[in-house]
Amino acid sequence: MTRLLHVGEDLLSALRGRKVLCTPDVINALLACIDQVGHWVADIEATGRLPDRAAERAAALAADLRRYLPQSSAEPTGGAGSDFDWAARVIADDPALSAKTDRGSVVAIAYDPQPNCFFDGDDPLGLLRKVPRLVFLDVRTRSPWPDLQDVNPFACNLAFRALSVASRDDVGQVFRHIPDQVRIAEITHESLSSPAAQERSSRDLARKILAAQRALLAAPCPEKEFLGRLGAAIEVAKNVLRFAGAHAGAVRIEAVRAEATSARNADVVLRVLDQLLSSTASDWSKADSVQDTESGAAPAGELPATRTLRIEETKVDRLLDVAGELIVAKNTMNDLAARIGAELGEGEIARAVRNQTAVIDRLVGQTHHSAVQLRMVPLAQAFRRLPRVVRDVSHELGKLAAITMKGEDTEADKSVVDAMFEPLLHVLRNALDHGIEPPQERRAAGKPEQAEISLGAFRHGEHIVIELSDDGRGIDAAAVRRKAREQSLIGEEEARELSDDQTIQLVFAEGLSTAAQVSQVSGRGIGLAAVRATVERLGGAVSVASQPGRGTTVRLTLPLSMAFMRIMTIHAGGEVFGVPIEAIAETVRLPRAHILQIKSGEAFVLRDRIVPTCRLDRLLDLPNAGICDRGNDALILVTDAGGQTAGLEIDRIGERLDVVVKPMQGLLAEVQDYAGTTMLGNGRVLLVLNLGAVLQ
Amino acid sequence: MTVRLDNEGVIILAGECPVEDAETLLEHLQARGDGPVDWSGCTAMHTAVLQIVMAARPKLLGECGDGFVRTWAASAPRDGAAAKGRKPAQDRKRES
Repeated sequence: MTRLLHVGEDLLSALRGRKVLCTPDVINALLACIDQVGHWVADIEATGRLPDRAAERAAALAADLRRYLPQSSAEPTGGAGSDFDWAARVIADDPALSAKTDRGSVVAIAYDPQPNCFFDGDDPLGLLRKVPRLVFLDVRTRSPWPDLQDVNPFACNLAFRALSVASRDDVGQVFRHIPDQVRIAEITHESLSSPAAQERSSRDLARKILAAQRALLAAPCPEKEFLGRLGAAIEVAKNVLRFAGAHAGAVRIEAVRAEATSARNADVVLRVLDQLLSSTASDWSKADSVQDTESGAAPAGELPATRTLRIEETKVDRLLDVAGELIVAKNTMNDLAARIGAELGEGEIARAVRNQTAVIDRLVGQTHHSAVQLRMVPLAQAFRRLPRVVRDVSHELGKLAAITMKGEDTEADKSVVDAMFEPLLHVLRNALDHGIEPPQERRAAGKPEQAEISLGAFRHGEHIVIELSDDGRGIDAAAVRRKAREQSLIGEEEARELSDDQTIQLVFAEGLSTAAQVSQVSGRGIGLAAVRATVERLGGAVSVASQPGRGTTVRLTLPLSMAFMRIMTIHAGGEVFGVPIEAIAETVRLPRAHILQIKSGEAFVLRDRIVPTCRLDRLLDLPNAGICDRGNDALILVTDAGGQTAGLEIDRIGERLDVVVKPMQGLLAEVQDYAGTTMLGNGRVLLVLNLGAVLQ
Repeated sequence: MTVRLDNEGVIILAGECPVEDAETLLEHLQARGDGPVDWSGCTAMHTAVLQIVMAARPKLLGECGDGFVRTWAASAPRDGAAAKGRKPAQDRKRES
């Protein structure tokens, strides 16, 4: 593994020195090397050693890498440079010394006396005493000491590393009799960056390494590799933090290791990494000292102008919970204020209560908003792993594609951003597999061979909109219609009725795949349906727009925050449910006679389109279904949540509410029909429907 | 003798300790385990002698009388294998 990495390092430094041209092949070889090392690290973590065939694999990969190296550096370079790494470290540790290197005059001495040097009359210490202007000496043991009874007092087992600020010639003079046992090198300013810059760059590097661990842990991972990956990432993060002087950070990472390992879930580690990444690197050590002083008596005053605070996610969530409960309590107050007005008449008290309620209303809203803001993270966390996917997948498919991203600093709730990655991945793979044509086809169509994929995000009211566009062949609406018809996703009549735009939304329907064959990348007909399911579970919506021959744009609309939802209460079968407002396209009241019986189903005509409809109480199998008397008019809620327009007949519409929806937990988490629960102003629990799942 | 054992069982290094002293010191330490060794009177120490002190890591009494060893290698016998000698900051300033 070390050998392989050395070759990789050589190649990278050759690239940096512009000795080798950077081609896709070179990058592929390097990526293969990185992936392999990743697997090995996982193996070592799991079994404690490298797999049996690692050496052969390393040799093959190294040979592959070497092909790109210029001949002269085909073997790992030893040489003087690496022999004096210790000197660079010592100098970097010592400001006084590094100041001297600025003037270009530190001489490093590596003195390894021969074991029999005492018999030659040498006294290594005696020689070193003569070194002019010695500033550093390290006496080290060459091999571990044997048992004291076996020590040979006349064999020299010591080695010396020394630095001097005298001239190289003066130092060389001292060792002129033993040139074979000593190596002398001048350490110049060029070979070391200034300590401040070095510290900065090492901090930057530390950040990058931490971010890489985060990306690694957040990336989807095969079950059997997970523990290895987790352990490796934790070790790397700990070492990096220690190196950057943030010992408390390392301790925190270690503290969550057991939890993450037993839960087989990296979330806790990700949380700690995020907190570390969201504070600046120079804050790590500062934060340490802050924590230290907080435990004792904190010295007053001298606070820096801007300070960041790292807070455990659970504490933020607790605040959010409380803010959410405040909203519930506030809703109760609204009820009370209305009752006071009704029961006591519009007196002075009623007005005062109402005014005060409005103030509380505003403050509670602000409190909740501030709490929600604490959980906001930039979308870049989900976006930044996608370029590699584009690279790998397009390569695999023999296509050329590049991705451009904008708006990645748009912020959304951390849970939304985390949940975004999978759907984006699906959409991206689809675009690469189905949307983008092979290069020769693109050339024939007069397009550049390299396809452009653009990924953009922006904020739109209380939602974020993510759009992924490609300039590929677009979606063939006729093909989708035919497929959907074949797979009985739509009826004959519907197939005729649907516009092209409406038809292509069917790509999100379950079981539809227009790809002629199932490829490794996509085409199993579940990809986009899964995207829709995920996005809808988050309270969002998906849509697609396409121009044949020009490209496709998939648009994901998501709530900024999952904590807060605007719902409408509806009554069906004698019970009350909540429905997310964004799931409701419109509500229609129409004479019952206008509902048509089509075979076993019902449908009605809405603006020249046939919309299938169904009674919500029957769909939900409510015990009182159908008992309520059906008046002359039917009230129908029209929704696009199921991927196509459908109607749901309900008894009555209630009120609009801003609520905090808590996801179903425990055993109930399996129940797909409900997005969660919320508490009403009167203390009742309201079930919030997931219409997409209800309609399936 | 520059290496001797006093009445209280302390190994004393005194004056200039040449290469031969290494063997004597080793014999004493092999017999007595952890010393103690009083090296405050030693004015010049041969590498071989220092090496024995590093190998045996005895209890050391006082500071080494040899200035060079005291400055650069005094921590070596205490840390064991790798020891870094550093001059105190003010010494270094004077020198540069």
